[in-house]
Amino acid sequence: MSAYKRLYIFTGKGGVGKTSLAMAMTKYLESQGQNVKYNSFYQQPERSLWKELDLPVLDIELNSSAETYIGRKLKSTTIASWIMKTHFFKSLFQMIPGLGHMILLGNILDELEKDPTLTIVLDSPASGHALTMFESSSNFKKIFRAGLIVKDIEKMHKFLAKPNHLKTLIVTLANELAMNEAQDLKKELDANTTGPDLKVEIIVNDSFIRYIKENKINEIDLPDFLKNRIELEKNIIGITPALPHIDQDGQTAIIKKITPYMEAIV
Amino acid sequence: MIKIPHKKVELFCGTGGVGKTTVATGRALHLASQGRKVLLITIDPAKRLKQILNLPDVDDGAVNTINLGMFDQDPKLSFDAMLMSPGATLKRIAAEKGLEEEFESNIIKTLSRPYGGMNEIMSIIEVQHQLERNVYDTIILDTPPGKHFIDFLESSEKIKNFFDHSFLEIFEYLGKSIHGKAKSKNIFTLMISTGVKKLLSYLEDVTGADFVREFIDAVLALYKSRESFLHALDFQAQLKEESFSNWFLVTSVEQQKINEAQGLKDQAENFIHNDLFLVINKCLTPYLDAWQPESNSPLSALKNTMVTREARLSEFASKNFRNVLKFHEINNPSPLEHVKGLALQFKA
Repeated sequence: MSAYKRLYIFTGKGGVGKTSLAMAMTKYLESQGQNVKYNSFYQQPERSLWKELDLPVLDIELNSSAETYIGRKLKSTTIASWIMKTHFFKSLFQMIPGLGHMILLGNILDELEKDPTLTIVLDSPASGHALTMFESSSNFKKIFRAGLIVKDIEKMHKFLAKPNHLKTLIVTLANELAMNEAQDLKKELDANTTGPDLKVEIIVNDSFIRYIKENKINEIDLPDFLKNRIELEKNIIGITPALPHIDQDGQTAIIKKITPYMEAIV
Repeated sequence: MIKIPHKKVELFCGTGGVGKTTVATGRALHLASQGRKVLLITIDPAKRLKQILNLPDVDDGAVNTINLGMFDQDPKLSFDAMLMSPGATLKRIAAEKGLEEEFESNIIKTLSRPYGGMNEIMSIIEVQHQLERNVYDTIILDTPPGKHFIDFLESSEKIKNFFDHSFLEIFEYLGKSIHGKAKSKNIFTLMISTGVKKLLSYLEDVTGADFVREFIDAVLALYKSRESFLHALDFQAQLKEESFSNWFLVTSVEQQKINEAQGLKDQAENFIHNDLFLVINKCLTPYLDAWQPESNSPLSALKNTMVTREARLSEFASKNFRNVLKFHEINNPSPLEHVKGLALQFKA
């Protein structure tokens, strides 16, 4: 059996480097000969960056995703496309964003079931959204109670609960607010007992402690604003795994440099 | 030197993690310290404001008075702060319309939770409500972190679509009236009925029959209070007027925010007016200038990339935005000190 999971979910608040790490993870798994695809989930696709990195991508757009999904469930794409064009359904999607998440996740899991060698790295939007995504599966069970969506949610939960199928990484930065938020999010995700265990781990990004260690820089030689940062990190990181600050300019260069570090968190 | 004129409403927009809430709080502190009556509304589901100001952990949308003594300033001065609760705002609307019972629906509760899909429109309704109370000189709104702040502006479109005729067909078909009494079916409704009936039966297959029934009742309840929503749409248009509002787009030099700044610029062109300010938060320039590492050492490599990143963002900003405010990083772990430091930078 492969040492890798089937689904990696990167989450955390905005600006912590989720997207960079999710892309780096995809590149890392690819470099290990793994059949892997990156999915940007609910976010604006960054096609130029994908191209620059030559990133294997599973590109699903929400509306067409919903259409495919409903088409599959009702066994007719014509009916599905008709339903999706009605205002009623459009509104349903716009007003209940969790429903869109659910359908995207359903599609992603369908892909994983179709191809048992595939691994997907999911780059999920800011923390609240990720929480909505998992909460919504249990919420929808409550709201819908019956019908195809509930059956599917149960199927999804079963799939995700299999051993070694899933890892959720909350990315954070080495400051107090960010770390508190990450810990709150972990608590809430862990407490969601109606769904599968999400195997949540926190990872600190952009650590200067790791940076100076790897570059053999002496802390004494740093200017005060960086010394303060290091002090702060010492109090906050503790035993949480951390990735170093990257002294490169531009996202492509940063992702390339961080890729080998992903070995430690697969 | 950039002058920021006084306006009734100030809006802070930006993606998550740039320090938007802290900057907005710094702005509130600055205005309050000048003796203006300020209300700060934040809808950040991460509840950052609660952490900064140490507010009680209840989701009731209550107004808290923040004494400036907390920031070592004149304790006779204060500003008000509210953690927006979409549910609480919705409850108020329901009470105004006598629809409390109808709003007690699972679906409406889900919609009005943080990230539930109605946050943006609810925050507009709340600002409007607070303005109409006429208690404050300035209301500062820290907008929810969307994919882009433009989500916030476009939220009204969602609502407009929602209240167009599409649902009316369904209500008619089911013999439900948005005006109270049920209407009898006439020949026209019977004609459209076939389509609606089919739609509902497919929907039932996908989501279950109970859901369809509850969803329609929830929509009906929202329909009955649609005036509140449509009224908010007019107000949203007014928010874009220069005489009425200052807009602050917040970005930061942390990480790689330049792509985002580009996105902000493209989107802002839809509504840009003279009092639009780009705030570049967490600038390291003063610290970097004072730092002279040995050349060709690993430290100089570190400094160089930091300088390059910041210079690139700065250049981009001044090329594309008329008003750029650069706020330097506050070298202190305490969130209160951050707010104080940012307020001072607004003063300067």
